[in-house]
Amino acid sequence: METTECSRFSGNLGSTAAMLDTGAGAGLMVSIIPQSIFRLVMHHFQSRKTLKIVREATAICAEACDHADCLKGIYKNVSLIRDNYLKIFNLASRLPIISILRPWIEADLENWEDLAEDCQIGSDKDFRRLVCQVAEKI
Amino acid sequence: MPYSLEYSRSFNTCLKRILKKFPNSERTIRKEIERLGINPDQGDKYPGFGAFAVRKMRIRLPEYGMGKRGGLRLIFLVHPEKGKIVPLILYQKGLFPEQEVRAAIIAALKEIAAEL
Repeated sequence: METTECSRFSGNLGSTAAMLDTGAGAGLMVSIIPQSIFRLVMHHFQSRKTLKIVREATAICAEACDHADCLKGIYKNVSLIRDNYLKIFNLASRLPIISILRPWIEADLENWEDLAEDCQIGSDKDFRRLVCQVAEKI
Repeated sequence: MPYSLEYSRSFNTCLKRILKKFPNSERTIRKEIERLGINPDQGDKYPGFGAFAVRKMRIRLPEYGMGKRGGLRLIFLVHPEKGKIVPLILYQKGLFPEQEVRAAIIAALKEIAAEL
């Protein structure tokens, strides 16, 4: 379920990032401002919901398994979401109207950056091997 | 039941480096780490470690106007059977590109494993 949610959110966010990028580049921001603001507000709530689903799924997984394939499975979508949030965050600093949503965008970016990092580190074989070694030795 | 915190030389070096960079936050940082002994279930848990837990916690640095983005990240190991918490690495978020974070964490773990 978390993979589907991530994939869906990634697609939605990607199209918003593309819309903002195109609009900013072509000087068409006035025409897309209301739609942009609406979409960014919706994405904020979607982001929170999707993150909650993913974190809860990995927490359940944490109790029940001895591998981290769940993290590998979602990493691609998580990193796409993070990259799109970074794009939107950078665009928001240049676009006065959109910049009022910057704190929300920044908070969402931070959460997805952390999750992307966790996916990468948590599924890393060397990390897992070395942590187990430390746990045995303490 | 309170856990005992086990500090490695490697982690202490890492902590010293961070405190040198953020001296005004020394109290905040030490307090957040010490609090783990009473409440180890902080931060997000990495899946699949079985009997013990590995978690990552965010530490704000309000003294430097840093929220959790750009603040610190602490990765630590919780071993309930042994009643111990081992802080593994403390780093500043956003300082390293993605691959360098991994390399820094692996290097720190190798040092800790060699030291124990």
